[in-house]
Amino acid sequence: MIFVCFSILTIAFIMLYSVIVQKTYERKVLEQKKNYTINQSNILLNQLISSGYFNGNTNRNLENQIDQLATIFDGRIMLVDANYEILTDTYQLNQGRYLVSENAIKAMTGVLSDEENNRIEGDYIECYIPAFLSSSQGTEVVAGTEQSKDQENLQSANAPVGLMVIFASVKDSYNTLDYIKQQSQTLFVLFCFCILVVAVVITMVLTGHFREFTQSINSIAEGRTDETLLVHGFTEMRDLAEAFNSAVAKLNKLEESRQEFVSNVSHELKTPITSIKVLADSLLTQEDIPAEVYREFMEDIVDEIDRENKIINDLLSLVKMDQKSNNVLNVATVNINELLELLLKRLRPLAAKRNIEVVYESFRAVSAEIDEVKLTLALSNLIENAIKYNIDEGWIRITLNADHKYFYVKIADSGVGIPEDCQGHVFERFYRVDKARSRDTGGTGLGLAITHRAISMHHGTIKLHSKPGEGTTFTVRIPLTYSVNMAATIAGQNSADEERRTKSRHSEKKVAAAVTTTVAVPNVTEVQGNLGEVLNAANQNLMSRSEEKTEEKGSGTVVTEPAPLQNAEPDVVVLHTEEMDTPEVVVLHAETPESGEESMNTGIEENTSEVPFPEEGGKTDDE
Amino acid sequence: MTSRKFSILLCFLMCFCVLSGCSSKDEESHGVKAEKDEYVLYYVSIDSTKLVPKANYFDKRQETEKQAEEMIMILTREMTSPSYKSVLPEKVQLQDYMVEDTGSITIDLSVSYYDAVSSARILCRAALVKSLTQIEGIDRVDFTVDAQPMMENDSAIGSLTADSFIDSNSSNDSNQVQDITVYYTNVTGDLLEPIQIPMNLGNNVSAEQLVIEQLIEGTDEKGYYNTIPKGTRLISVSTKDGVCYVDFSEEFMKLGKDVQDQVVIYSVVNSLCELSTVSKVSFTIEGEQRTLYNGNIPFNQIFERNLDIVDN
Repeated sequence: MIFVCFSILTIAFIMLYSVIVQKTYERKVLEQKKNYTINQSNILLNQLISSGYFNGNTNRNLENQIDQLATIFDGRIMLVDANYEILTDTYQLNQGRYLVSENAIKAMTGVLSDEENNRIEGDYIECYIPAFLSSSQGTEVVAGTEQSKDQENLQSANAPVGLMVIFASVKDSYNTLDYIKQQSQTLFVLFCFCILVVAVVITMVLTGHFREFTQSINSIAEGRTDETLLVHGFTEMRDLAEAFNSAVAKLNKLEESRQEFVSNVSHELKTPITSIKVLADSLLTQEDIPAEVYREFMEDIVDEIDRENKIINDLLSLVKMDQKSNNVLNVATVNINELLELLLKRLRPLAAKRNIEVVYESFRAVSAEIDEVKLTLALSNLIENAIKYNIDEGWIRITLNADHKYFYVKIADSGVGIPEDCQGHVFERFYRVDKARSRDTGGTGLGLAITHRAISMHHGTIKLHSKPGEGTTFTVRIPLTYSVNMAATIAGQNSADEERRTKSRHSEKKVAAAVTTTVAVPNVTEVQGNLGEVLNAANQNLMSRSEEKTEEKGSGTVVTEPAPLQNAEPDVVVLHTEEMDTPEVVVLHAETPESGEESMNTGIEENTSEVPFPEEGGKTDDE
Repeated sequence: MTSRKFSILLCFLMCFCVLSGCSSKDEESHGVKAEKDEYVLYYVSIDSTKLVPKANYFDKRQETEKQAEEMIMILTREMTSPSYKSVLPEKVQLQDYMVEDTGSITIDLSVSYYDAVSSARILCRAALVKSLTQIEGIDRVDFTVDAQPMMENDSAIGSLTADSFIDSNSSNDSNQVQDITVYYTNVTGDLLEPIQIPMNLGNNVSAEQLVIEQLIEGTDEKGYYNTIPKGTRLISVSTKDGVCYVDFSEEFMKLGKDVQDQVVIYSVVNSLCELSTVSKVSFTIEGEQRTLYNGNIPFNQIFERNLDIVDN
């Protein structure tokens, strides 16, 4: 289709070109002919006037010249005197008659315009040239085409002595034009043919490639997945083939991993059953078994059943998350701090068993739009792993932080770590770093896969940093607002951010030993110059806010007066300049000097609804 | 494939669209035709640049004098029309007119006629002559001024007829049609057959060209067959000192079987020599002189009229 369009366009252009050339040439040729006719006629007319032809002074020589010129023009010349009597007609028809045609009279009386004076009618150029006797310069012709203002005045005083009427044939010009037209038409047809042939050939070649492609693709669709497209043809075709091949390769890989998964599942499910069978068989085959042995075996069997049950549960939750129809998150605004605390409450006894210290740090109050169940599952898997693969008397540090777009949960442990070559695989299903150990820890190999899935469903990311023997750090980043399409506007996030903050302000009390202060100031340089002032202002804000709080909460709440900010060491000062006309925002994180239970977290915001929140704010708190 | 066919069709359609722009335009004829009981009266346009024909009812059964009187009355009275006016120039009076039995009418104008500009004078005469000569019994007009013959250029202008005036260059000028004899051939192609054909010489086409074009075109009359080979084009024709130089295209040399060589040549020569200006004819083909026509007739000579092969 492209080539057809292209060829039509080309043909149209050629056609346009030839038509324009023809028209231009025609105009030019006719104009030249006209000018030539007028010039030659003027020369003759000059002679005629000077010899007094119009006063009855006929001359054989002049007659001959007139005839000759008429022959050259391949036309007719008529000479008319002042009384409109035709003195000479080269066609010998009208001598002695009177010429009363409109153009002749107009030309004589000087009212004929240039257009009418010499125009082209059919195959002839018609020219009416009045002859004037110029008194100033002896005898001079003022042709109609060259009349100027002065000469018109002259003319009114000086009536024309005669008129020369010329009919000059332009047939030869038209013949030439016809010839050119014919030639260009022939050429045009030839061009059209050539272009069409070229278009057809190119289209054939191209459709040939495409047909090949279609065949290969069809055969792939029929199941010969190992087949690939032949990479050849035009650049675009090659690109297409490569893209297609890589897509097929990816699909093949997916298929492989699925098959592997199935075999893994079968194997994992089979292992406990085999154990159960062995245990049960040994009980059956032996006689007179003491009750303790029975009990021991039965306990083992129960263990195995539990294991099987756990595997099946994990698989089910994973499959649920994988299912397209179930892919919808049950999103609600959840306080992440509370969520984590709840989780830790549940898991702390587990850690306490092995004397592992669990430290939870929250830098700010965070609430986000998440699916509570799925995220809890993900985070608890991570923390469980941290406990499971920890050394006795080790530690786990869980950190929660957020910026205006995301919140971050960092889970670091002092555990065994993951070897570097395994780090890429830990999120795969049934992948185990150490197969031998897995039995003891009782993992199913699905935990991290579930975590990964749940987090990616939240459009979040999970990063792993680990060194064998030193410990592992998982960093989870999840957007604060869940949007079906990832491109959520910053404004939307900001408003959500604001909302979240307003909510959390009243709910948070004693989680982290951090104070966040946000102050809007006109611009950066001022901030730098008047940092002290800003701090003062912030301090005052802080004071008033805590007063408010005191009033709100009444006597039931214990409020500690925040330490004056001048004394506090600013942990981080981030100046973020978005645009010159919007106020800049300074975010100050200052650790309050007191530590322990009585700490407070207060957010003071101003103008945050209009101001884009700094992107880097708070991130710098990471160790 | 259908889309390509469609587009090819489209291409050709576009070609036709472009080529159809090359049509010739028809010339508009502005002549006024007189009905059965009407004459065409000629007035002078308001700016004195042309004659304005208007059809007017006349009782043609009236006497010639009566009709002439009425017509002169109409033509010379004051007009209110915005486009044309009385045939008489300003201040000129019609003093007298007299119809004579010889078919002429004498019109006497006042002496102020000579004060009028030449265009007004000529238009006055032309309008009167062209109008009056339509009346049966009047075929020429004499003008007098104060009973003296009208003078132009220090000489009397004499009697004027409708033919004395050339109104326009348009082809409907019937008074320029003349019968001219051209020679075709008979059915066997060995003799020339003369025929008189009316030709309009009023066009800006020379009589020589008209004659040859007539020969090429042929006639519908029975018994007259074309002599000039089909497809021949006349490139140019011009006459100098009685010799007509004719330039034909190459096709002229490709003689058909059914016409003799000399018949072809002399049909052209004899036809041209019928014109008063031509006595001899010289041929060229595509601008060149050829020594032989069809291998046996010397062709680079000057031909004269040959009546030997004319059918009596």
